[in-house]
Amino acid sequence: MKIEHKRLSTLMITLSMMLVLSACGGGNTASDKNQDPAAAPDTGKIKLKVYAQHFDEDTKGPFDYAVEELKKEMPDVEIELDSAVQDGNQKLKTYAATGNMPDVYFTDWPTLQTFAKSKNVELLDDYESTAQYKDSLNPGVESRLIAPDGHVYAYPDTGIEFQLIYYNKSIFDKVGIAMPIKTIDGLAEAAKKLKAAGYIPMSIFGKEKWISAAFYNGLVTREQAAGFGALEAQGVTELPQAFVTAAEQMKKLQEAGLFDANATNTNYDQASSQFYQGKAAMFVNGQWEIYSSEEKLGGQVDWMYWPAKDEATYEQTKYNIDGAGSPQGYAVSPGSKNKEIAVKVAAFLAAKSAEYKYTKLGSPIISPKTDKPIAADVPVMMQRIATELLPNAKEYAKLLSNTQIQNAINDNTQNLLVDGFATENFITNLNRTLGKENQ
Amino acid sequence: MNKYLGNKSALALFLLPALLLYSVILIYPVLQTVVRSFYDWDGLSTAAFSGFANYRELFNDPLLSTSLKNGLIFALVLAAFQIGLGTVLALVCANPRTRGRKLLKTAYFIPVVLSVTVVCQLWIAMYDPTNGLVNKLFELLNIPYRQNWLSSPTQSIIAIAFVNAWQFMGYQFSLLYAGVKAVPEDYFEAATIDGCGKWRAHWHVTLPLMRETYKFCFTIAITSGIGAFVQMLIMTNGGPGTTNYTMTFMIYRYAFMESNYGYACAVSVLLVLISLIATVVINKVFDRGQNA
Amino acid sequence: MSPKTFRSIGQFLLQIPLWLYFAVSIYPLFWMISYSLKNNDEIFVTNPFGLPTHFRFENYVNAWTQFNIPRYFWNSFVVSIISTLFILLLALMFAFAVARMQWRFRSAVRTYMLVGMFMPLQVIMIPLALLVRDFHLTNTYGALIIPYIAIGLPFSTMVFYGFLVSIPREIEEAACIDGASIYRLFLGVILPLALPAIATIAIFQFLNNWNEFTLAYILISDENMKTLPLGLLFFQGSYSTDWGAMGAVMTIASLPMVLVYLLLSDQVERAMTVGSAVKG
Repeated sequence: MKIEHKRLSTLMITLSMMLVLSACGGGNTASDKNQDPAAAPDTGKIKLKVYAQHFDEDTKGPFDYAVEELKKEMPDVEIELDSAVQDGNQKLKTYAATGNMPDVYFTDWPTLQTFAKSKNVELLDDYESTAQYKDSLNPGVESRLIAPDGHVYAYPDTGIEFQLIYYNKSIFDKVGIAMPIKTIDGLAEAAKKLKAAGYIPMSIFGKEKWISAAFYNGLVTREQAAGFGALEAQGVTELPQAFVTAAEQMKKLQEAGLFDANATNTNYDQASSQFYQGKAAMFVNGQWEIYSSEEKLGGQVDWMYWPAKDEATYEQTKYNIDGAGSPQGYAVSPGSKNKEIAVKVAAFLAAKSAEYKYTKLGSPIISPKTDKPIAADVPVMMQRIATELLPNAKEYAKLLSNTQIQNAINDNTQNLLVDGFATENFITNLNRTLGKENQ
Repeated sequence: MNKYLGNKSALALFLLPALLLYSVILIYPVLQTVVRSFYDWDGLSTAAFSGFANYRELFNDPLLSTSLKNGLIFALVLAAFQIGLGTVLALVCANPRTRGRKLLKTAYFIPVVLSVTVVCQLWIAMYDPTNGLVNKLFELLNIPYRQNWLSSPTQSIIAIAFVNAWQFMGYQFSLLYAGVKAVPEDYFEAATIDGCGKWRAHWHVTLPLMRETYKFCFTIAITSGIGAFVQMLIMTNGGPGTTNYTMTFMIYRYAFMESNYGYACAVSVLLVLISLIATVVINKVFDRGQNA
Repeated sequence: MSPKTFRSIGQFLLQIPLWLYFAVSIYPLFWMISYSLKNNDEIFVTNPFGLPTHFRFENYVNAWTQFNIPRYFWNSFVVSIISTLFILLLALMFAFAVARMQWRFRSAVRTYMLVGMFMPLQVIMIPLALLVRDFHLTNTYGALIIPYIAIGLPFSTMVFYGFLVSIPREIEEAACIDGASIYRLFLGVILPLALPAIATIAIFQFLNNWNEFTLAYILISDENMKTLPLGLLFFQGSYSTDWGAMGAVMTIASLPMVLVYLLLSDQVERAMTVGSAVKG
């Protein structure tokens, strides 16, 4: 009876394995069939499947523009769009797992790393397009194209994005807070004043952990321009002083009441509406928030530089950018039947998409330079970035690729937003991870 | 007759669809999980055998101790609230003089049929520090006990466990009530005539006879405490930090957020083992009571 | 005071906990329904606890038209109905083969099926997600229906088995003598006999599948394919700050199940707790 049972289970397992294998095989033949017309010469055109972001105004515009431009440049190439879904690249990973990769695809650095390991991304190092792309880059954004391992995996369109503190000028005036705030003490003072006047000093969507990490990195970059990137090095097994200082500063600000008590359960919609409804005096988010904050609050809102431990440090480091460039953009599948052309198309799409963002949307945050003029109606805050910050920006934060360390930072900075978590806990927890990862 | 009921093609038709689906969707993944827990595997590239490395790493993972602690708290809250309070309510409700029994039972059971998302969203609103019902009630009763229920590193796990306890109270209550009802009336009467007080009679007569019911209720409460996930996912996303993590949360994070599938499989295996041990212990505890 | 009145006061005091918990159990739901008819000002400041003074039904209109509720309802309905039907059919066939037919390995196969009842979801979740991905089922109804069927099988076959085993042997003999085929026996005799068990399992599985969250969360990301529990996970945009509309969305989402329960309360309670008879 026991033996029979075992034999039967083995049978069932074999059966199920066969089913799985045969189904996978079936999937592949189906996809081969899909690709066949691409090779069919009867139309005389080369068809390329492109997986790109194409779901709202901000993503459709640049892509459609780039495709139109491509038609002029390479008339014999036909683009078949496969719209990306906002699913953390699951759809793309499915393609990879089933050997069904599109010729060109748009993705981010974590996914590129996985694909580099599983050989689903073409190394672009030696292509002619890469050399040209390198020459056309804006200053300071090399890290967008060249990965930390020295390879080129994708052609980026956007530049390096970064986080800013936004503030409501009318509330600051009403409560009597003088700008600029240059020091942590100054910001803590302001927080106390604002709180006493019944405002939430700063709304933050702490339910998402990356924003508390970005806030922390803003403070870190005043002390150590490389930011989190400084943690990715052999031998850094203990939290460097700059990071300890920044953690103490963040705790100090929390204790001064800068963040709402419910910050870790606040999402973007709630936090932004606190700011836009005038309940919160400050808000922290990426530079992309400029467009909607200008739309909602008009001239009432502006951004400030990150405060530092003292005024001298503030002046010295105010152009340090709280944002690190990670490789991202249009990549090419090594399995593509028209790989040479696909590489050219990928570079072209990225460059033209950047051109659209600059000339039509007025965003100076792009990787490749363009010789056309910027859009006419650029928000004032964005103009400040283009004229005041970017030309002076020399130091961008460096990329941290180690997910373990990044996750430890995310978890523990979120903890710094609430009562009952001491700086010592922060240091102990990070030292544990650093000790493990950087030995 | 034997030939009639031994019809091979009919047998295959009746048996195979269920068996096949079950094997592919349930049994094959279970085996996969066990096997993959010994591999270093990102779900995409080829897996590399790594022996017990995942398990060794797991036992040094600070998230594991957080998760075990939270699982235990969760299980204890469920057991104390649902089974402790549930027993009292079931005994009182079973009293023949209780009026409105049907209404009470229905009211207790309604939360059970609600979707867990609705219940969690409702309690997020209830726990809201400024506008939530819970803090407003304390205010109304003039008790200075306003709390940030869901953002406290120490209390939020209890607040969350309470939500689960509240939702499934009616379920455990139904089981306990059926258990009480199944105890023959004359046992209890004999005990009260012998001069026992009512509650003592329950303690010495009714409850020991409900052993099987308790075995089941405790198994449910403890294993769902150890495996808890959805409530923290929806209500605090495991935070602040990782203070609300449980083992299932670890699996979710390592597998689906960090693509560290092999390691996540090791967590799964450990979770199943712990649940299994808990079930065996519960059974042993209640069976020993029987022999004594 | 006579002993009798003393005892009835005692009775009354004893019942207080029952009604206290009645309030604990029901009041949050009452609160949800009443705030679904208020605006933020009433919920937060002027009237947080009681019934709304002015019924703001526009919250419901907003919820229904702007939120994707009809779509979520439809998805939940399709997934729950199809998977429940298949569970009933496959489990009953399997139970029939194991309980009534005569063949060698039936007890081993029954044990094999039983194992699945004790497998927590967490242990199959990862390979299942990859399986669904590799079968190209992600973001389709199949991604949920197929796993739901498989997961529902062990328990349902157990209940059906228990039921079918107790049917007397004479039934088959009569069918055999009448010359009915085994399929006729199954459809014409066994199926009608098993109706009470089918009803119980149908309620149980439908409720389970309707409210299932974890698998749906892992396997579905497409907005158009989300089931109800998934769709209510995030209140986006204006919903995250408009409590009245959130309350309306939640009330609408809960109403069907509460109605089903109120209409069939005994059957639902029996179905939901049938597990204790099998496992305990």
